[in-house]
Amino acid sequence: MKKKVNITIDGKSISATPDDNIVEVAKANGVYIPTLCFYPDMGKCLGTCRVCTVKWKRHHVAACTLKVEEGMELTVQSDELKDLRKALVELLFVEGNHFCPGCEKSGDCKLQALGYELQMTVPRFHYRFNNRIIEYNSKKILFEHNRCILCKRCTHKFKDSKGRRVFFFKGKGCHLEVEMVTELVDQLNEEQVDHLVELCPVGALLKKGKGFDRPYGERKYDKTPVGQTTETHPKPSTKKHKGLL
Amino acid sequence: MKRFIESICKTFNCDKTRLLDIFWAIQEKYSYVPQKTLDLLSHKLKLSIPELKDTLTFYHFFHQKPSGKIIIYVDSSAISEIFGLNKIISSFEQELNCKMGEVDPTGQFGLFKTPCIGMSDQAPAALIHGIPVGKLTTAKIKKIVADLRKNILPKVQIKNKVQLRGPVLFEKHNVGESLDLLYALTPDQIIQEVEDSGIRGRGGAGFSTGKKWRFCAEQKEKQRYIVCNADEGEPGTFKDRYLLTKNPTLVFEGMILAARAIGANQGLIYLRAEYKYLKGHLQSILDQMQLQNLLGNQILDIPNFDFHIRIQLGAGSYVVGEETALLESLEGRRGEPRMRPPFPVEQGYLSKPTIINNVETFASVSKIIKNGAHWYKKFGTSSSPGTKLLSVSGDCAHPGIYEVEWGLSIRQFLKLVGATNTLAVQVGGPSGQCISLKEKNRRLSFDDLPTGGSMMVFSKKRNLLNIIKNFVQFFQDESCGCCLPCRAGNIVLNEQMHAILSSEAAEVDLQRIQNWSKIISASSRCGLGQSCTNPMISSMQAFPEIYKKNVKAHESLYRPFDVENKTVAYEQVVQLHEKES
Repeated sequence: MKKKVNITIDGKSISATPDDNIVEVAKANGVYIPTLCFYPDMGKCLGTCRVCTVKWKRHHVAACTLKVEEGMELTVQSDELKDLRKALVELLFVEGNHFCPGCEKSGDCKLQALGYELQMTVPRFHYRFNNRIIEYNSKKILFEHNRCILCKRCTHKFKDSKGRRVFFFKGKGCHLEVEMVTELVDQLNEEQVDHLVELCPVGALLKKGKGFDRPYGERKYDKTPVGQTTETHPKPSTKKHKGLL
Repeated sequence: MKRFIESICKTFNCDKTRLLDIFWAIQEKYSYVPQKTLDLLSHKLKLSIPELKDTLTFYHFFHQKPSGKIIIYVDSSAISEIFGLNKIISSFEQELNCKMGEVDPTGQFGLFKTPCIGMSDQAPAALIHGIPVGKLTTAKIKKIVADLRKNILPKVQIKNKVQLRGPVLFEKHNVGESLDLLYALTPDQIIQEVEDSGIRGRGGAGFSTGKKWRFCAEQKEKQRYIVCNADEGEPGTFKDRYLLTKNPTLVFEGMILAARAIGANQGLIYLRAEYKYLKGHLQSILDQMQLQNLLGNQILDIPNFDFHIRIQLGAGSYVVGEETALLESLEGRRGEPRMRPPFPVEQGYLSKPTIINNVETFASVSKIIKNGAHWYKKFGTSSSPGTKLLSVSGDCAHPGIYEVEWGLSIRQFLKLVGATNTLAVQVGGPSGQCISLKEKNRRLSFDDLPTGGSMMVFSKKRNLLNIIKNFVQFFQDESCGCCLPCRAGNIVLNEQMHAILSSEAAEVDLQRIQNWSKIISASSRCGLGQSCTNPMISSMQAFPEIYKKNVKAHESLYRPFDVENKTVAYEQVVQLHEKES
């Protein structure tokens, strides 16, 4: 066992193991750092959404990419950082086409939950109204590109049974999009598809043949704020749900 | 086609890390990468088509549809723009009978824009079938196109105008001279010497070269690599072009010394696609060095000292100049910056400890080893020792290459380059600082005005806002898209800049740019996103009056949804309801 070291987050002293992930250490000690692309226990973090940005030694750093070091002094909650996070979430809302009331993932969507959490009402930026497609070629997955936030979870954290990546990027910059290998998606089993849909933080990857399996009000973030819920490896659901789509 | 794909896969051993080379080979044969070749490749390399496209679509020099047998890339940098880019484009359009971004009716020619091709000293310039042609005029274009129609390609004529020969890189040097010291110095002594010289990386970030080498040498893993970053993408620089055309052995010597210092046996040069025309030249120099026993096995008969250098051609991407993105690209993937740590010295090329240095850094190291750290420290300032190669372009009498000592003031600089009636100097390219003459006493150094070499001078007759817009557009186009603030933020900033230029911005927009820039640069993942706001912010600081003058609208076009105003009725109903209950 590594020797514990002391760090402070917003002035609060915390004893932690060196090299542990800051987001998780903070959480274990009751400090909430908002995250979006971050996924616990999944090895290397993605660092794409930057919502977990904190301040360390006058620099801004994404907390998910930070590891515990002796004597670290971090700022998580300040007016500046709160506004920064809110701005980032707003950027996501204007970049894609997000219509929460009609979305299957509403209530289970991390982006939506963060919007509430950060008290976002109206984005400060112009909506881009990007022209994106809905891809229905796959037998198992409906890919709603309008909602994709390009977080890289599916491209980098999802592998099929043979360890192959199933999602890739195409283009770059503002033309970036995710492309799926339809043949491989079609070979996924039920469990893998469930896992994939759970992995997607928004409603971009949806399971075909399944629409709304739980009513609004019973969903993940409906009654518990996103800061108090835990995202873990989803276990395959044992309940059988009747398809609505 | 099948046979061809099989043969290139064989040439590259079906090695996925050589995808860029494979795509280049295909493109050279078909002048684009046809879908059918992807199907064949997919089968051969056991990669899915989206996986191939993952890499292919990242680089703008690769085309997926017929783009002309001869492709003309017009340099769209700010320097080209001030020297008549638009006129050049319309001349090409007229001569080729096609629009920008299209292929001519015969399918023979394609006409595209590309960011700076490293010819800012000879702007406006274009790459014609990979061959750079500078100082373009309507008449010259007429002649070029007429020749092209007769299947005559322009000749490679690089005019390197050296305006100031400095004391370090221009000191007389015979091929392999610094390598004589390999007998006298142990690997550790080489690192010590580099450390003592205090040299800092010449690419822009300015990390201590000696420290980098030391970290790498201390790694447990013994398989190590040396990478030379010859992807000078910062608009306005062409100093590496000079070193690679005129003095490549000096660069290779530096790489060999680095290899000896850390015990690497493989080196790679990542050459930007815009400098493809230098590849043959560089390869012949490498072959020559091999014959002289300066490269290859048992270099200079030193037992167990083997070192080989391979040239890897890029395919058009600015962000690949970032060292970890460069590693990704070297491994045949999209050039997205990696997360750090681990740093390349710990896990670099193929996850092995790797030293990545700029072309100029390696060249300077050769001189440091040859003449000693003490000699090197005589030049420059205490915190920025040595000299710096500058690529000077824009409105000055003598554009070209200068080797100056660190500590040069902007006043001295402007005198040196013969700049008159100067409005602004863009120090360090778009990612650097835009300064006015009020700051002419500031000095080029790592603590004051750092520069990777790009120095653009703009006179008072230029429209500064157009220049800044060009820079902002450049960052928007070159963002890899991997992290949100850079991908989406640059579009927002570009939109604001557009509003200012079209007199649609109000006072409040300037404040917005400041606020949003802070957010974007603070939260971005790599150097590109962190510095993409520099041109706007620094020019706003230096020239507030220019921005103010262009802010004409009473009300901003950028009117976010006014939630309070729009929900008045709702609030009234709620209040009424509360009263009643």
